[in-house]
Amino acid sequence: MQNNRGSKTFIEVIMPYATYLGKRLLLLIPVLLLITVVIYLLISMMPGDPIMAMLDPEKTATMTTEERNAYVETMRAFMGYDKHPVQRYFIWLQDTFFEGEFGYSIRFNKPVNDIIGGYIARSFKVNIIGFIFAFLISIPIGITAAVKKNKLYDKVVTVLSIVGISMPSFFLALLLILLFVVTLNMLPFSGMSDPKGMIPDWHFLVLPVSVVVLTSLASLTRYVRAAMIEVLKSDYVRTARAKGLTEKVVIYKHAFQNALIPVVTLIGLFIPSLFGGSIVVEKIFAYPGMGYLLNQAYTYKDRAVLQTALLFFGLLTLLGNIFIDVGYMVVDPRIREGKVK
Amino acid sequence: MSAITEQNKGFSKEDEVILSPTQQIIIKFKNNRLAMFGFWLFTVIVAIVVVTHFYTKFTGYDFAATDPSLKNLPPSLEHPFGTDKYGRNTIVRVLEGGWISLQVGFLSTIMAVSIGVAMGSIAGFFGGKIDSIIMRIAEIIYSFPFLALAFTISAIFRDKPAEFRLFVIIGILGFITWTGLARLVRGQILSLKEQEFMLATKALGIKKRNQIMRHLIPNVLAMVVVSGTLTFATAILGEAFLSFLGLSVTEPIPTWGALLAKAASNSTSLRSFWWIWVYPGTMLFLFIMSINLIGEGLRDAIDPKAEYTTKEQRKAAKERRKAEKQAAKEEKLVSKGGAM
Repeated sequence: MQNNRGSKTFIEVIMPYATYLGKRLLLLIPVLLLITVVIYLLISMMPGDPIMAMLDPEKTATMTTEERNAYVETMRAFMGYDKHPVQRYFIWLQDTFFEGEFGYSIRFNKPVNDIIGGYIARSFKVNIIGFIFAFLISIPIGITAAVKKNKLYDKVVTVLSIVGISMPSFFLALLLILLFVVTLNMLPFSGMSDPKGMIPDWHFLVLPVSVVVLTSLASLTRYVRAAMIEVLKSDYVRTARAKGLTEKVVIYKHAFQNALIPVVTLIGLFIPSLFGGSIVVEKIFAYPGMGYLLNQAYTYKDRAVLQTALLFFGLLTLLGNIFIDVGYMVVDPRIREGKVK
Repeated sequence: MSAITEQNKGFSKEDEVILSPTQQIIIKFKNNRLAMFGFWLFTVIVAIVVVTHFYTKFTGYDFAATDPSLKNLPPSLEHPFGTDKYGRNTIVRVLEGGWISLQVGFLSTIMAVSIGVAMGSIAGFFGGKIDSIIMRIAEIIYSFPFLALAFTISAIFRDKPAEFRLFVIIGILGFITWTGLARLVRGQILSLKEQEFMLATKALGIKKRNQIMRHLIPNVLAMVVVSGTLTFATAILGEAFLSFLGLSVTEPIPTWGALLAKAASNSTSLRSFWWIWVYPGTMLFLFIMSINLIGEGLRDAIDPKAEYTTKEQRKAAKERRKAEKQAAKEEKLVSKGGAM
């Protein structure tokens, strides 16, 4: 790595990347603004009055009509619903981006800031473990399948990966529950910890993590296999073979490292689900992550949480796309030459 | 047998037959066993679902009819897939459930393909500002998390009738999935545009609309078909997700996702009444798999470099292997005999 960059200092090496990254981040702003408009419009079109949903029936039952109306009005003012919708949009923008206040959850009766961190962390925990396993399993399988192209091993891997990408994650989750919880009685059904403390916490992670591993495994393997086949066709692999290198050295030293280039950038595709979790899987396992939170927010018409969660998902996808582009630039010199001038 | 095929490989009249690209694609597809398996699976499932739909429609089968005496029966001859907690026959519900999936899949794919091809070819052909505007829009739509967006939109239309919600879902799915196709088509057209035949169309003074419609789009069509099959699978999966979350068409109209959701709703049905959710889940899985197999087969078929083996070649290879084995066996026997 060092020798082909000559005697450039660290700053000189890093500068083109930084300017490219800066440019991409600047371009992100208008896209993000448009996303906020769409989210805001969608949320404000949701049926139902958020203030009425927020009222505590026990508290309002003893009130007279006037008292109740006054209470509703104060609540409305507290939540900011007494202002014009357009004005409210700008207040929301200002609160979110400049003050870091994401609003007030009517379901939890707490500011969104207080609750969202825990949900993100729990989703991240399941998904990071799952993806690490998926990468560790899929890379060797994909590479051996590419090397043994059209042999029995490759055919089995291809068929299994098609089975894998066709499996809906919720059906897989239910089947795993049927097998491990109902039939074998090895693992707990759902949740994330045992109130009595009888079952260790990691038992609750096994099934959600397995679903993450199994569902991402198939597409990852296909991707690795395709990348490796592409690399094995290239000229430098032929050169390496012509030099008389052993097949092992050709595959693991020359081809493998280059096949990893597109695979590394795959991380960019996984960034949204890494932090965002999966709505369906978390619902089935009643695992309190971001997907679960979104589902709850939807059921309770919790607008502040919905807005924040949707914005969070959108931002993650955008950042993931930037990660892919910058990642390609860092690892692939051909693209680097094209983009940095 | 093998000797004859070896001979034919040299040169014969059959080799002189000129095949059009479409014929080549069909031959390759037909010789791909996995793809053909997917194709037949797909045909059978679609046929059964369509027949069930029209049969129940014309006989006036009532999906809301309940019978408490038949509650939660396990699979039997009379009810091959068992009955649910209202005593309804699961097999009819499972087969009818596919109708919604088919509708959503076909309509949203048509929508996604037409928007995607139109946007992609316009962006690729005109380039410049139009290109960057269209691609920026596609990027914005692409960066929307599909499920979360579909979630919110169907929440808005929650109180509307089922048919209306069905079209909302088709709209969402079609609207979200076109971006990938547009990118693909744009990339292809960008490179096709530089080729000589496009220069010829310009020199001949062919209208821009016809340049796109008659000369560029037919060249990307094969790839669009492959990508369209994958969109079809995604759309069906997306609808199943939504109905699993109770956001698609609701009772008494059955859908595969909603039938599966029954199992997840409480642990009793998941534990004891497996037949209620295993069958719709399996159907959904088989259906999506058949589409993916077809897509995979088509992808190989349109790739001119992909190799394929015909049935005769496979048979010949098999017989050759058999003969070799036989020969090896006999040799062994002979050597054994010699030793004795």
